[in-house]
Amino acid sequence: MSGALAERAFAAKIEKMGFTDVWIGERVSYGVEQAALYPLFTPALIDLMRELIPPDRQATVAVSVIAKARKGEVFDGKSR
Amino acid sequence: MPEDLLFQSEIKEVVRKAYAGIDAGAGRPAAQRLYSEAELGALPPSAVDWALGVGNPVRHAALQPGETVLDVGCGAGIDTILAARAVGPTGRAIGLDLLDEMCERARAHAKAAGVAPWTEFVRGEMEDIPLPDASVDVVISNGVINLSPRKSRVLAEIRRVLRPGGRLSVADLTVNDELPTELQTNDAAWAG
Repeated sequence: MSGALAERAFAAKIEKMGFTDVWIGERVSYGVEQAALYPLFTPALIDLMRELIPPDRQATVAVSVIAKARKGEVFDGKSR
Repeated sequence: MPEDLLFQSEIKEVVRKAYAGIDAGAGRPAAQRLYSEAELGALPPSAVDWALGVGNPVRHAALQPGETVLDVGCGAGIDTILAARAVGPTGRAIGLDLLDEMCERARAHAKAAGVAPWTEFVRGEMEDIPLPDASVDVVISNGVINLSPRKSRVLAEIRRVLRPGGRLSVADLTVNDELPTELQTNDAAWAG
């Protein structure tokens, strides 16, 4: 999760890398409670999240999105 | 105080070790947030137990029979299997994962699901996809690109392996507010 980008930055990066028709949708919130379902979030990490993230933000620490795009015909000024 | 994760290789190793160290996925409660009962019913129960994704990229991929689809960071194979069902035996589904043990689990799940003849799993890195240029119609991925310290490189590799006009359907985590510094530099938080 530490490597997650802001939605706008994620979409911009997809477009910058030569994709077109970029669409972002189907947002699903992930809070501390949902994160705790995943074994990659260790108990120590969950405790740290509960301690460091303000209570009013704990229900939406991250948002999963679907990003759709199509390979563009041109990238970096060149047709490929 | 955790050390800063300054090096891309260090982050990759943290992620690799974290995934190699788990002995189960997030399980059915997490999977039920993402997949319909019909989709879950078509999967081997052990594949559902290994759910680690954050969305349902296959639902948005508009896969057609006969297409070739690549699942980047396939884990234990849930999305690869769903994609294989969509493209059918005239198509091809390829799962790519960093870990041999995940590829092994995914192969077993694909066999149990009856899609093994047109499905394969390849060990490799998403920053260096071991497939030829313009060799797939669709790339899917689920909760994986955020794990890479080289996201532009991952997207460039995805673009390289896609055929002209090929499609991308990715589920991934985004953040609206910056995480506290101590979480940003926490190694477990990179993998989680």
